[in-house]
Amino acid sequence: MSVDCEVERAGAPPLVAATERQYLERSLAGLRRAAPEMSAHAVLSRRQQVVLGVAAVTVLACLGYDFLLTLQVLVAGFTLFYTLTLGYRLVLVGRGMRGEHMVRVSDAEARSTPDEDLPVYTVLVPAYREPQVIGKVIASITALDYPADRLDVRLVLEADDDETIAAARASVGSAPVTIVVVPSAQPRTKPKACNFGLQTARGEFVTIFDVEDRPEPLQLRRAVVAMRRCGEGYACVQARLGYFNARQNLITRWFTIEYGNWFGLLLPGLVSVGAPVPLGGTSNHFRTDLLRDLGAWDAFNVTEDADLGMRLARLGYSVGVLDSLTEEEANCDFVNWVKQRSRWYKGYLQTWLVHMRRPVVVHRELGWRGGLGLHLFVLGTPLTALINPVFWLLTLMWYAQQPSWVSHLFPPATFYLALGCFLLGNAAVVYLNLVTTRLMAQPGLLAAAVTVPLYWVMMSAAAFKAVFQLVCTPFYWEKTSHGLTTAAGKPPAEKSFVTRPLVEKPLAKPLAGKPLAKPLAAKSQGLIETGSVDGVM
Amino acid sequence: LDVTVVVPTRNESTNVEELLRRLDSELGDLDAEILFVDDSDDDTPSIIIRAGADSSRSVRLLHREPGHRAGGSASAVVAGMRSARAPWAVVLHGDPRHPPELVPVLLDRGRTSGADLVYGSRQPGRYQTSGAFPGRRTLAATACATLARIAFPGRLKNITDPLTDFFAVRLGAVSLATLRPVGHKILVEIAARSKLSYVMAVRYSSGTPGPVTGTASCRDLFRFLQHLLILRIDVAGGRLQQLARFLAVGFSGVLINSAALWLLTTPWFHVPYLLASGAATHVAIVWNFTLLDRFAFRKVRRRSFLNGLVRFWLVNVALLPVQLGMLAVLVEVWALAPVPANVGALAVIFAVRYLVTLGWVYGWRSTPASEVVAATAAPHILPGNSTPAPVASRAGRGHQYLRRHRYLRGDRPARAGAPAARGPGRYLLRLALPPLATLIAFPSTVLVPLRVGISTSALLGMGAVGAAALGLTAARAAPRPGEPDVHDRQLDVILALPLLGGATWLSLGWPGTADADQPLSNRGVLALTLFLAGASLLLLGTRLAGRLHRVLWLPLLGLPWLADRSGLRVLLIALAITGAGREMARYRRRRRQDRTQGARRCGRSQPLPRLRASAVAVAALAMLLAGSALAATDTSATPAPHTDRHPIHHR
Repeated sequence: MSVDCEVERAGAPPLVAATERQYLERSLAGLRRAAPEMSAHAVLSRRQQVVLGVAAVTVLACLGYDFLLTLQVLVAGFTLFYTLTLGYRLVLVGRGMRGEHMVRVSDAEARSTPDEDLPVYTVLVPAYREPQVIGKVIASITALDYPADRLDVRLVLEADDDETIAAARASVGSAPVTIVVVPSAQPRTKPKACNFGLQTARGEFVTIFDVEDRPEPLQLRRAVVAMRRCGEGYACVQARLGYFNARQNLITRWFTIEYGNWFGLLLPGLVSVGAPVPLGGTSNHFRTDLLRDLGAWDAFNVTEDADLGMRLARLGYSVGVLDSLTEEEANCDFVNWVKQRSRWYKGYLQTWLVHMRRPVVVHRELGWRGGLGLHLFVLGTPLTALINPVFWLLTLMWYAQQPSWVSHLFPPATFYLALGCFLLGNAAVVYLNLVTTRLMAQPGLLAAAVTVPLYWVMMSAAAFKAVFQLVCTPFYWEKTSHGLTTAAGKPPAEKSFVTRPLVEKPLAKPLAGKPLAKPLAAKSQGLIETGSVDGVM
Repeated sequence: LDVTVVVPTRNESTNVEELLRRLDSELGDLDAEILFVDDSDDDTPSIIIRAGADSSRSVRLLHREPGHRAGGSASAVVAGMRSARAPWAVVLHGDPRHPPELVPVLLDRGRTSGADLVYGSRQPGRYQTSGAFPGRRTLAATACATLARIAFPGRLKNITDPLTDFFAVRLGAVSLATLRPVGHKILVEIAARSKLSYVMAVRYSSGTPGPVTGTASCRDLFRFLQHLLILRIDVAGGRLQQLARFLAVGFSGVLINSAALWLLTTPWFHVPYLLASGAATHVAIVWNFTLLDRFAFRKVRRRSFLNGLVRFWLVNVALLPVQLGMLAVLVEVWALAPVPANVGALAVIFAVRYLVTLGWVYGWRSTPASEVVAATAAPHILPGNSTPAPVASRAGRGHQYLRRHRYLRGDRPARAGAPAARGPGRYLLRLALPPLATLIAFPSTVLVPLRVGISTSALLGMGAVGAAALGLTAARAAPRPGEPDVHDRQLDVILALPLLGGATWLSLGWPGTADADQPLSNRGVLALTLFLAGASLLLLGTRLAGRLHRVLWLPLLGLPWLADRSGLRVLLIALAITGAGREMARYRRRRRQDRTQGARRCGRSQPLPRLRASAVAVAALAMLLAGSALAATDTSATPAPHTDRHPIHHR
């Protein structure tokens, strides 16, 4: 893996044009060529178009045949899906609370690996139009506790972004940072840049950080230990993400709670039930060779990370959640937040559609647990946000006016299910947020945890935007502006996610239902520390 | 090939060589050809051929024999542009008014900014005119320019100097085949007949005296006027033809509609007549659109068929209730007979439909966006008075805006037609739009205090609330320092739709109506508040509307429910006023800080897209008509005492 000469080092000649073209071509179409059915370059496959068309015609025909009954069935179906999603979340949280499925590496263990045993580690930092923030990344990289000669940091910048390139050149200095310039090409997405950077990577492991990220200093060492401990079957460990500007305003508070919930409880829960884990955008640590073999990220998917998580699961690899925190900048601005969230939702929908191109195959590959995760988590997250306002409106109309047609839509069975969701479900989710703030040891977020229904309204707006964009501009990357925070970056209160181990038992069959993962089950037995909570306090 | 320099010449044997030499040196590395279009009767052609042979560049000569010179120098320019081989043409006359040094500048501006046309505009007043009437030529030129701009208020709107004949043009943007020039003034012809999306002016100053790109004699003046008249008739003629075709298609649509209705209601299909009418309408909509797309609007088509069809369908669906409401108003309020009322309503709807189809479905855009820049490269070369003209700052901001949005929208070319310049007046107008729309949509609710008469204390309260609203608006209209300049139109629409829907539902979707004794109803005020919020989101954008959210709540103070609780009302009014006062104080403090730091803040804002304005206008109009129709029926009906209570359904 020696491709040093082809990369633009300080003073060295830039990437040879032919190689550059080849890299670009590969980073754009690598996955699409290797496995077209895995790439989101077309939103719907031909078969999906047919199925969707037939479904639409059927629904229309049914509406024409018996309007009310069809609507009743639709409402019942959505209510059922909603209930299942909610129930699934609660199960995941319950599993996640046990704290079994987080890979924990103690400080001592992380430091104990001698420097010469550490592999070369590639850190990719893609950035576009962030000249103000680019300097900060150098600071976070130099703060990493990892030998500089084994660190291969690559700032991946876009060719037309002169400002950031200039700012990066100015701030690099003597830091072990290489600037990789990606030639302009559409679609201009983060995965394309990452793919390009990956092809120049020298490391045995590779990870991604965003520009504004502040990874915990020991994270790379922990990841090395964790990857070695878990064995070949683990393609990736995902570090937890948190926010350094949690207290800035109400939106960042909600966002922080949500992230705490997501990475601290839901993702470990997913690991625990054997469902595929949608990766987070940054701080996921991969084996470089494996990632290249898999075709890396899908340049056409706007949540390439979640898609990669699904793909890994389908190929039989596991993903661990690493107990190490990377702090990001929480989006503090409403409009900006909606843009970011709509991109996520759009990406989740894209991902679900991509992996539902051949449902039978996918279910065979993932097993029923995995399939359930795919539907109820990857589709469920955006879909519940879409359904929510419809049901709220119906509720509101009912209380305001009591129109009879609303009562006709909800026959008793549906009605009691929906009522249960509305009362118990919402209460449970709010309670869950309270629990999360407790686990994060951040009592300051209490008020935000209680007012979280307002946050759901924002989510719904984002979900509608996502659907609109999925139809109109599926590959458009809704850029999130960074550097809006005013927080000076206080050290966070929490260091580790405190979950009390309720049941102390080793992972019995962590990879049940994953037929391709032959060598893994035995290896991972007992390798993950179950229930230990070192690094706490 | 980068550029073709078109030089019309007529008996200019003395300065052709010099011009060619200067052009050659100024064009530098550009891959350019020089094309002389010659109408001379002297030895100019032979000189051009000789000089061209010496030049390293490709020099071509297009000599027009005496019988083929109709249209004067303007037609020579067009002939040159038609035979040009490069994507860009720069038109340059071989006289001192047009410095060849500016040719690369014009070209560079055009290619980097994405403009269709870049014209050189000479700074006026930088030289002395001589003669008995020093101002005469300037006056004539100004008059001609003004006339031209009056004749084409849209297409020449942003072109400050339509008489100039020194410009660079992207040949792809000009419909060369349709040009029929007369006289000298080719730019008017091009701008009037082509759809330019983005025009840029480069100001330059030259010390050489000469006419202000103006007309020289009375004959020229008359020729210009004649040209203008012909041009106007021609361009309007196209429009008239289009209108006629639109009308024809509309009539054919009526026939198709009737035929479909008849077919569906025959015993063969036996569809209920209302359902059949709906279906027939849709058949007619598709029929009309297909014909319009292929027939009436073929040349201006810019969207895919499906996209256009969806828009056309929306227009028709939105106009249907407007038509019915108008009919109801005409019949019930103005007591017209149904048939003439129907004809009148149809005529109005036809005009509205034509305009909306032209504007919204087919992206009618005759006003090019423009900006003015100074020729920074040229002045130091020019002889004489050569101070660079100041860059027009407002237009410059517009261009920055375009740039920014081009990037934000992911490298798509900027939507041409975005307003290039926005001053504070325009900003204030924008702020006034949502309340105006609300006033139009809820005239009775807003004007009710005037109708029923008002007590002094209530007047005082209203005045206080109005003052608070003004204060809050003034304080919060400008963005806070450090507030991100991130906007999202999709979000604006997504948030506004439920609010506008709620307003519609509250005002129309309720069985029973308000009490006749009660001028204001709780529901009406609530609907008004929702409508105001929705209109603000649409017209001002989420960010500005969010900043003004306190103002948007103020109409709730007019709730009749509060009237019985005067203590609470006084408290809320006091809260509003103190809030406004606090904001004003904060605003002044910030202003002072800004001034000390030397920073000038201006109201950054997104432009008001025509689509949203028209959407709100249609909504307001529909509500107005529907509301008045309802009101008319209410007053005619006997007031039923209990109809405003919700019918309660026991299950």
